[in-house]
Amino acid sequence: MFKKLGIFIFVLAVFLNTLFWALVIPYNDAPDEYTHFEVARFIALNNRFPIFGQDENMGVSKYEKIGFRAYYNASYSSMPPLAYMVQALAIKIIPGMNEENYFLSARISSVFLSIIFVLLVIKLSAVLFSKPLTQTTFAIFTLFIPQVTFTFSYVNSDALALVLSTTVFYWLVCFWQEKIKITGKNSLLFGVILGLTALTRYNAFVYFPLALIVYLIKLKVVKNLKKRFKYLSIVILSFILPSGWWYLRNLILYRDPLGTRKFWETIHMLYPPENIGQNFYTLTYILFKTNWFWQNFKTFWAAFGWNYILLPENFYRFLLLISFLAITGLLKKSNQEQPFSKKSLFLCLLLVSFSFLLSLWQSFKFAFQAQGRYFFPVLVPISFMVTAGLFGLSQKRWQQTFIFLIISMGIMFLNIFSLFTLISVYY
Amino acid sequence: MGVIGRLMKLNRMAFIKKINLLLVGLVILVLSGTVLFLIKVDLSENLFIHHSEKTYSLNRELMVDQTFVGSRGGLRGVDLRFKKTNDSNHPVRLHLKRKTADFQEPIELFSGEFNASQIENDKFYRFYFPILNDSRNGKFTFSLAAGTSTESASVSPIISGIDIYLEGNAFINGKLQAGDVIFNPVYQVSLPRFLSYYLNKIAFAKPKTLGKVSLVVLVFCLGASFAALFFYLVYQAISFLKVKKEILKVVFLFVLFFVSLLILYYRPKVSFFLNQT
Repeated sequence: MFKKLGIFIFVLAVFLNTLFWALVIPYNDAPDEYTHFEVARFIALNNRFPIFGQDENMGVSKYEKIGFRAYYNASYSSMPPLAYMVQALAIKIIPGMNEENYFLSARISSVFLSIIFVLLVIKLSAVLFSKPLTQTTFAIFTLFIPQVTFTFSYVNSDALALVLSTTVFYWLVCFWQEKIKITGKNSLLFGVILGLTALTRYNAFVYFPLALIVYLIKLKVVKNLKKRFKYLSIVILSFILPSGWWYLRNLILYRDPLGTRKFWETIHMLYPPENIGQNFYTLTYILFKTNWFWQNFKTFWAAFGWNYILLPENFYRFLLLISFLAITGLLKKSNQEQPFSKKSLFLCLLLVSFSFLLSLWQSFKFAFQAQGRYFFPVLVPISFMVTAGLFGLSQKRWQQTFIFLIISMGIMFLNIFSLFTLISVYY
Repeated sequence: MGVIGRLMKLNRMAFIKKINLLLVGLVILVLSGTVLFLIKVDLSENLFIHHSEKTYSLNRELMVDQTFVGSRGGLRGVDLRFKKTNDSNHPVRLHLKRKTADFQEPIELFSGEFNASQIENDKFYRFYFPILNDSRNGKFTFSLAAGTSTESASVSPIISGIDIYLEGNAFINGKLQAGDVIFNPVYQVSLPRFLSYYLNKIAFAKPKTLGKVSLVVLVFCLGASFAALFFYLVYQAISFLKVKKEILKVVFLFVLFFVSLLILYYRPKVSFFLNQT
């Protein structure tokens, strides 16, 4: 009974908090919100997908308001569309909104995604950890990271990518720990989830190579060769069917399955690559001469607006200290008795490394983008490692309880503090 | 036996009953907190974050002034944001003046200096003054000046493109500007006033999509759910610990942690000024 009550409290607190953030943040004071919203609005009003460079505002995306700063960006109309489809649906079905407030309907769809995310994280916590204390710490730490609340409170594609990549991660862990068996039905579900993830953001693609490897390894359990082939075909087909049509459309329209070429051409036309662009920064320059690491770290935890609203520096230093403590805990030898699986940890390390390399490659290849939200598809693996590491620091009950209270209440405080920071800037 | 000890002795059902009682208490507490919405306080925010901006590097030939009116007593500083135009270092001086009568020149209250090299681009810095208890309705001017050449001038205050702050004006070398310097007055406030100030900002300003009553309901529900979550965490912690001694150890560590935080927070505030006259 209390467990259900606990879940209800979690869902309610996260939902109301995210809703409140969504109402507090002014329109377009979040990264590229107008660019995302324009695509969703177009789909809702025209009942079709926009064509890059052909439909109005679908080449160069503009946000111009007299007396205000003007924003220009390349349109996201050639980018994976699932998030925009969900937002367009919300625009259509939420009653009582005039056109001026359509963006709120789109935001509310992100807010509702937070409920799914809460349930997923709670489910994952039971798979990853055995002790209730560790499970709660993991859940609360993941759900109340201020950047997570921010992500679920404005129009974007990150929120859906976070939800779906967390679902993929759940399946991977379950396959890896053999908590879910490889059957025809499970293969179908797994393939569909992978396919839907392919329709969110390219950052979430880090899961695909690992998903394939894990699935193939675990497929060995199935002794019958015919069945093996059948399951593999189901996964591949159920992955291709929900997502393949989009990449085929891009190939036909733009001769580019990913649809990124036109996007970057437009970006470089708007912002000539004198200080951004291909191979301007070398890898060593990015890693050692810029603040790429620190900027990524800060914006992963809490950076609002167009990444210009930050918390006092000491908060980030404290989070850095927590991260170092977590690493120490993970490396500790006595940690072998920890209630988390070493296999899960290995999986997490791989995912975080892939994500790191992808983000670095993006900064190197296209434009210098030190944004922590690019690591969001691997947010859950990161918070798993932090929780596991911190609880690995000590085996004593009272010390673990102290860690539990400090981390859970600390992250809640950080979340509330971030809300006050936003209000103090906006109002 | 303390509260925790008594709670530990209860069986599960009795414990849940106690939780319900405590939850009701917390809900009442949150409800009374929400009443703060009904106290109207002055708003004085002036950040211009959405507006076009102009920058003018401070040098020996360019001085920037901004007038403002104290919205309440206890003025203790201003927040200022700057743009960096290059990396050269030079001193920058900030003056605070007060006009006592319309026909009189403003009287200088404080002045302080800082180095341009300490400034980072687009970041707010807080400059503290000794508290002015009678600042309500007072007419103040702060001025920024740097005795450096035009070439090595590296710091610029940010001036908004349009006039948003209606109770004051920006001047460059005494010439009236269309916009205002981006600044934020800082006041000494009590905790209830601080809370009501922020709640008011939402209730009386934005978001306009929700009515005041629905907003109050939302804030109340949010506060109640956070309170419930907080209580759930405490319950979990107590259920995990079995021995009273362990509970005391955790409480002690917790208190120690918070006392250290309070000491850090309430340590003497260092103003951004290097020297103050």
